[in-house]
Amino acid sequence: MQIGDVTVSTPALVALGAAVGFVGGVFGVGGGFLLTPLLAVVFHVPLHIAVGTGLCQIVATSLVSMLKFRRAGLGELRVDLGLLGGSVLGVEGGARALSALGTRTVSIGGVVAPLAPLVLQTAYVLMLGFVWLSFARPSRSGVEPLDYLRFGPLSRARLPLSVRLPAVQLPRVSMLLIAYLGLGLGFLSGLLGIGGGVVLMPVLVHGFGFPLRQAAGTGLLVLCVTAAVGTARHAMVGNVSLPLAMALLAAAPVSAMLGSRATKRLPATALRRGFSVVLLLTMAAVAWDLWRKVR
Amino acid sequence: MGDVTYAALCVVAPLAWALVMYVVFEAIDRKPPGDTAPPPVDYSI
Repeated sequence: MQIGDVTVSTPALVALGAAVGFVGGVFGVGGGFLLTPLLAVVFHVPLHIAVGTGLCQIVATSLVSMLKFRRAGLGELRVDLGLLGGSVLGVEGGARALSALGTRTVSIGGVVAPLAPLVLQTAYVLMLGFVWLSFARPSRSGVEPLDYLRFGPLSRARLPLSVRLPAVQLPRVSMLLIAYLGLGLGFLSGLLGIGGGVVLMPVLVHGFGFPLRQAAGTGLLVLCVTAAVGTARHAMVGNVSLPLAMALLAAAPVSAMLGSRATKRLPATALRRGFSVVLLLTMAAVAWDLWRKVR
Repeated sequence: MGDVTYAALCVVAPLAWALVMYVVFEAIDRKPPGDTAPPPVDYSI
């Protein structure tokens, strides 16, 4: 398959879509944090196309995962609805930022390089590192904290417009905080081609104190809507490749369904360890490619 | 939409959205008048 100046193996793209769909289904994320960097770094797809098409794939995987998690009674729909108002607006800002970066170059050691890949790949490494540090590393106490509800600092804070979250049994959580959190997630989504679920999960688990499985089922509606808005926004400027999206989507919905089914059977420790390995491998691949560019 | 308009919208819209969500969820949580809990079950023999 020809994408821009690059020829990419279609079966490899189908396999990548299936693998990312499975991971997305297991962890309740869209999988964009893996897909977009891997498309750019491993398959050498132009970054703006990887971002636009990555968002397109997230629409399908997050929709399938959301239906599975809702059927299993997991997830807090009030958080999804609260995030929506900000995220739909934020994704436009991310797409604007990507367009602004697109034409600029930077000189490093006498070599002129495009600014967008450097900024985005640095952002991917930082984001993956943040997620790994805050979520995937083993707990110091040796106790697995992700199976039960705690009152995180964000759910203890006395902020205005607080409502009850019945599905996770939290008495007061500020809708104001959630709406602005949605704005930030939407911005990341539009800029980096991720759904934002991978950033939302640690915030829900460590910030609010959600149990892992409830956190995995929360945010999928907003991921799906934000990714759809982001896809439309990027498609308007030619950043979405339909053949690439179709290859990625060929097996993704089925594998996302299998992944979300596996979530109910796997213990929280195994989920955390698996997620940790996936994060580290992706971070290493992106960091290596970034190092080659700036060396 | 200009950048300034967009920035202003980013400040105001989440606030308005949060207010709407707060009103909706509070209304859902509030029990309608007359909707009282059922009397406790008498388990005595």
